[in-house]
Amino acid sequence: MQLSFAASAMQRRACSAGVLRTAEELGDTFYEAAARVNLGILNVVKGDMGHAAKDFRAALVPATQLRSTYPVVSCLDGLAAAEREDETGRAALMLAVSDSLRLRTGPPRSPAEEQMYEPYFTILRKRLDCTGREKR
Amino acid sequence: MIEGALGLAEGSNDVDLVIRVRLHVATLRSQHGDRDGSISLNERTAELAAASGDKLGRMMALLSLGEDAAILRRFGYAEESVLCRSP
Repeated sequence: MQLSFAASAMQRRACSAGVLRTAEELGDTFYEAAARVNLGILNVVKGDMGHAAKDFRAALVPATQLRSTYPVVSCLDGLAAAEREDETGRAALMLAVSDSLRLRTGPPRSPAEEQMYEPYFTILRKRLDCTGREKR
Repeated sequence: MIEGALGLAEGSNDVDLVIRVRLHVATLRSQHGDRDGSISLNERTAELAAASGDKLGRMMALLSLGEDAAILRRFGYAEESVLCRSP
């Protein structure tokens, strides 16, 4: 049942869009946040950072309402990766806040999250000096 | 044991029970690396939930189907096509 990546990504997108519709209809913030994060991740994987940033920003609203760290740091990681090109300072701030929340409250990035985001975060960190200021 | 529970639930006429047990079993299958088994069960669950008007059950099944990426995040499954991409 192994699908090609493109077919599988389309299926995932359709499923997540379906979840989002029902979550909005039912007013379920957990499922809304989860669906939007998943759509954002699909866009990151696709390389569509503009739409990814939009998805993660939209996910941050219900994620914050949940008062749970994991959905919030998922959004911040996604935003840091998606905004690294145009908004380096803001992206670095997102990454720093995510790192800090993860250190303080526990949920580390899974090996898969590390693999998915580290190339983006490495680029971001390279642009910043150790004080967090953007390199000129 | 949980697969046995699934068999018992499937044999009952309680659609709500079938859906809930299937969702649990699909998650467990996924956690144990049976991704195809998990996907197939979630697909059948989404169809059953849609047919019975169970919006929450359908949404739960669809979330699992749609979140290979999230499954990656939770359980660290490697999917080459996703993880090989570099920025």
